[in-house]
Amino acid sequence: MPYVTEVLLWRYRSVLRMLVVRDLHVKYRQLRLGYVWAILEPLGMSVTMWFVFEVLLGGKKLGLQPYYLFLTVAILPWWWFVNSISGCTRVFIGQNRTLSVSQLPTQFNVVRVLVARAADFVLSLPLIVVAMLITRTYPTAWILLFPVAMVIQFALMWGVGLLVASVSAMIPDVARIIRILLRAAFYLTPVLYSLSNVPEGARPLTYINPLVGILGLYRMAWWPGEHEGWQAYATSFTVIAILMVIGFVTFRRVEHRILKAA
Amino acid sequence: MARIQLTPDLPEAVRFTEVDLSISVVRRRGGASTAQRLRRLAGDTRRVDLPIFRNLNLAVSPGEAVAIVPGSKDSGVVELFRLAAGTLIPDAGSVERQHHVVPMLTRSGLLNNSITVRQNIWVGALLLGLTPEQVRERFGWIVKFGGLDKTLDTYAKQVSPLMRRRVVWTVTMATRARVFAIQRSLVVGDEEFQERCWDYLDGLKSDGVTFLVETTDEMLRRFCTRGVVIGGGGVIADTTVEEAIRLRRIDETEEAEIQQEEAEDEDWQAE
Repeated sequence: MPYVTEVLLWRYRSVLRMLVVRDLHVKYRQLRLGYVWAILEPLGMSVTMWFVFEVLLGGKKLGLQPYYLFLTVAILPWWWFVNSISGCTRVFIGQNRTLSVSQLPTQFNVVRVLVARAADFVLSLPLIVVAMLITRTYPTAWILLFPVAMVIQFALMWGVGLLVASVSAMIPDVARIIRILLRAAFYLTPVLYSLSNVPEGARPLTYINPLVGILGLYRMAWWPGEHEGWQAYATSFTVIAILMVIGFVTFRRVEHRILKAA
Repeated sequence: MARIQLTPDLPEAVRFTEVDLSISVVRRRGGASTAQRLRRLAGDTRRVDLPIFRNLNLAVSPGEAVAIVPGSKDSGVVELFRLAAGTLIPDAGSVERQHHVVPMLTRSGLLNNSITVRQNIWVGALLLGLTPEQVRERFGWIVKFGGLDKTLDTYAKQVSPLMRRRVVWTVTMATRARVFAIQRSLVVGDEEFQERCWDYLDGLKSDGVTFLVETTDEMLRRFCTRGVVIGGGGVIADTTVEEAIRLRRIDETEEAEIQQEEAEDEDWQAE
């Protein structure tokens, strides 16, 4: 039990909160628009995608209606995922000299990034409200799954983040590989399109990509019929659990080498 | 398992048992042959394992002030301090500690240039293991002792090197640790502030706080009660301070760093 509380950093929650607030101040301080950027960046992305795929390409066949809401609901979590994972690739690279004196657990550095990006995500949530008002589409009671999806996504990113941070501390090139993989994953994950665009036989298989399950939970509030049944979700969550184990184990095995490189 | 573990019923303050450690350093791939030049196109650095300790044994009793003196090149003073503090994990053997060991290292990155001194005090104290409540409670003491009230809202990069070291020193002391591992800057700042540092440290020493120190000969003579010379993978001599100082071999890179730091201080004053 003491091991579990140590690993989950519960003891350090107040320290974590202070450091994350400080990180956000530093990130947004020099910008004229400050925190507004947490909204503007994903907004720019969703408007661009909407313009290209709905207006230019007339994408009535792509995704579900209303398309703008459909896009926004998935793009915000996706943006959170990309920023967290690419942030994790940099955690142990370069100027991280504080590792030589820090009395906090080493993986604190990774969790700090994840929580700061989670704060960005929460700040950008009003975009979904605006999209709902514009399209006049209001959620069903399944909206209760929205926070559940956030927790599950955080768990996924914790595992993947630890893995990515450990490996890129050993091999700096990995940071660039991750960038390519994330770009590929954007098109392989139903952010722009819905699962109904995938050939019927292949749909359950897509749930091996854990983000399919997570985005499905987010979208459940507006499109409750759009999923492949609970077994499919179970597939996604099993993959998440496996990734978490891999992340934690890898991190523990290379922790002493990460410290040596500091 | 947590990285830093305490052994409350340990008779010593810190104990190193049969510690092996190698660190990884970045070296440039050399050579002027065509093959070597081509090889550098696909990355010209490589990580090399540099052995530091082999079968190191050392025990430090509570209340001692131990001078750790480098006795050879790559003697591993910083690594010894980091092992004690738990910010390095030995490849083999064990490091046990009774209490948290708080390190004060020259190149610790404890000060972040992009935030103010006030924010640095917070972040630094949190990194050194204080809880937010403890920082809140000791913040006043830090500002008062360090004489930092006028610089609190200045960005750290605009603060003079002497002042920067004062911030680090005071934040480190605010941890009220039972064991400190201090490299180079035992006392900091101008003469008046140094006097206050000495008074404070002497007070801690008589309270039974343990120190591992690597600093100038003069300060070692003034403060330490035991001398340990390390180098060549382990302890060369465990003796008096005077004898340890006689066995000191400063390694050249270390020397260059000290000179550079002094030059930086002078540059600052000239501006």
